[in-house]
Amino acid sequence: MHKLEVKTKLSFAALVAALLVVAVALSACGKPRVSVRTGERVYCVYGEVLKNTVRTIQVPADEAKRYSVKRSTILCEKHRRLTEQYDQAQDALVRGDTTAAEKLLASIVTLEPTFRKASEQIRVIRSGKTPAPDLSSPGSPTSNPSSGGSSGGGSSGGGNSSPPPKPEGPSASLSGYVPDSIPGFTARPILAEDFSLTREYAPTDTTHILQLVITAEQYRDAAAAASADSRARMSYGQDGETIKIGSRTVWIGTDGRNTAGVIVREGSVVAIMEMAVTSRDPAGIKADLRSAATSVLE
Amino acid sequence: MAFALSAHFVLQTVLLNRISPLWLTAAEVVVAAVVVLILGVIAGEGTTRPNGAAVALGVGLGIAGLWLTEALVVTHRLTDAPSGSESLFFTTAVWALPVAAAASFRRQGRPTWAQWAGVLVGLLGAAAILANWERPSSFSPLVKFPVLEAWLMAAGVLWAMYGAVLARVRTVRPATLLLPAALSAAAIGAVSALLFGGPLPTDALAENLVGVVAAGVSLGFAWIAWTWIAQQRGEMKGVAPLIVPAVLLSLFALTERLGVVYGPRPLLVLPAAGAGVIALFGAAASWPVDLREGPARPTSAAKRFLLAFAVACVAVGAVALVTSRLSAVVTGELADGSPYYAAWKYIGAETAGGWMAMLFAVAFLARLLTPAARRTLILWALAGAIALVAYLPLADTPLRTWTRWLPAEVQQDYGTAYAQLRLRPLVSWPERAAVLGSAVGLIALAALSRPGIRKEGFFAEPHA
Repeated sequence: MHKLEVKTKLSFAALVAALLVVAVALSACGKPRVSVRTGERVYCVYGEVLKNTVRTIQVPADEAKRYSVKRSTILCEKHRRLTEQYDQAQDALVRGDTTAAEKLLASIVTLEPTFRKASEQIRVIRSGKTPAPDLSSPGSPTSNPSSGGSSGGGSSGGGNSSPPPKPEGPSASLSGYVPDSIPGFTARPILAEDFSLTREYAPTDTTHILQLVITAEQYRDAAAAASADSRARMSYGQDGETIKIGSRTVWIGTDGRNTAGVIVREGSVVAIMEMAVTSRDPAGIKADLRSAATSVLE
Repeated sequence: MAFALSAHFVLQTVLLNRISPLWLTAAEVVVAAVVVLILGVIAGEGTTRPNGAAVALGVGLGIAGLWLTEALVVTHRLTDAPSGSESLFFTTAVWALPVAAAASFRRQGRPTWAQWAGVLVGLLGAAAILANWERPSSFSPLVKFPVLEAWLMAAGVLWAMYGAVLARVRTVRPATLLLPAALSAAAIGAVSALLFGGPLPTDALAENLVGVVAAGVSLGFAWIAWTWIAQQRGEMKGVAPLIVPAVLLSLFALTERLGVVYGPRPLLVLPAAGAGVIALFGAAASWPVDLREGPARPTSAAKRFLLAFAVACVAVGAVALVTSRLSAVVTGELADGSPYYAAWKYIGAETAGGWMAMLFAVAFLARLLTPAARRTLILWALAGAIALVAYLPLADTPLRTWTRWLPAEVQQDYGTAYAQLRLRPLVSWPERAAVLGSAVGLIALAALSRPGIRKEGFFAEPHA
């Protein structure tokens, strides 16, 4: 009886040990099938997707590193023509030739009613006034948008010293959150996604500030933005408070260490301004960030 | 011992970046040896005349079990790589395994099945606590730095062997071995640092004198505690103090969070609390118990039924280990700026919930196979019920977030605006069934067992 009991115990032990070994081996070495996205997505600088071959495929885990989505941005034929006409219209406005300008702008809005300031300028012309020429945009007579691709939407490579094109399309409305200049910082190129813009700012002087990063994202509706707002507040929950900057009510807080964040929600847009510093002084970070956020929002 | 190990881990973390490994090891072991010497003198141990064999054994133990253990830990522990949670896991909780394994080879004080189950459950609890430190960036054992972590485990084997040798020489007083062991560790530490550690870092040692002394003192207390436990109480009582530091340091981090800015952030409090309960359950279950009452037994029919039920729970637990448990989606950017997306499923063996199902079922089976007093069975039933509650917040904890097959440039940005790892729990009925079944089984075992006949004196729990 005793021998039988010992045998039973040993059998159980062997079974359990075998199961544990198999499970440890599985968790340590097991490699699942992984769904990855691959293909190419080509955008026009005006936001339209020109080519999208992105698909999700299942691959062995070992091969998962090899796949990614290649993204490029070009100026499509249609927008190249519209840009030319728009440039000509702005030239006409500079010359004071509103008739020619109206004709060109009307031609533009027939194809794309929301193209730059075309509709607005036509309305001004038709009200009997002369609109101010749009000289600040990449499509203006003083600017010459390149048709070369720029991965990530922000690089100005290729030896071209002209500034990178401003984001257009769905995320263009977010550009107010990522201004070209913030006092005390040098702006880096904008990283444009379909519905978000991100921009890094490096401090101009050697200070305790490491960098400032602003991300503005367009959500599908206000509820989704509110949810993102709540999640973001958790990241900056230390010393958090609601403050007024200009007319906006924003959240400012820190992660308790060396990063502070300002969270701005307006409708379905959430903008997060994150500042990293070398010191561990949450209160000090907040003051620095508040000053930078004020210059952006006001 | 648990407090000493916890304090030593924290202090060593601070010092690693400031003093070169061999010199730090030397400084720590010298201070620890001084602590051992002072306490030995206070306790009057210096008045006994040690015999030559004991001194020789002590010297050998000091070099292999004390200095080399410490040197392996210090030289293979970096503050950032591996992360703190992995370092703590591989320098405390994992060491419980070789300690229990070494104890298994002894005739006296050999761990029972129930104690073994306790060790495994405790290890799971410790892993699950640490997996909730700084998630998702921190805890991924044997993924990022497998070789470094293997060395830390090797240090654990030396630590266990030190205890195993001591447990076999019970006739010699602990101090008779520890004094020469500590002094030889200090001597070899100093010599190795002088020979291979480069110039003496006078400035660094002076600047960090308080930290070095504190680290050495805590190490000295850990040595004294481990020596005394292993020799006087058996190595199995040294398992719980290895599991508990994860709980202690999490509590410490939690209190720090209230006042200062250091410590792991974020510490996911609820899952870590659940894991802490499991770790403490495992630590307590690994502790040897006495059977003064005599073993309580269920009726034969009840035992057969419970045995079949326990085996079924283990089988279902095994299924839970291979069942899909978490859905993972990684999004981020590669170095060239191109977007990256990958989705896959974690199986139960990669999560705390899956392992809890399996190990809880194993614990139930082990409890059934190990005779115990009714009071012990009632405590296990109570622990089973509490563990059932602890399972709820703990279950969805991934036991690793990094993999070897995803691009490192994406994984290193986890938790930032540039890369995200999103995990969504998937329902695993085998896991729930095994956990619930095991808890019910433990309660039923306590309820159906008749009290044993009270015996006089102390009886250790029968060996497996």
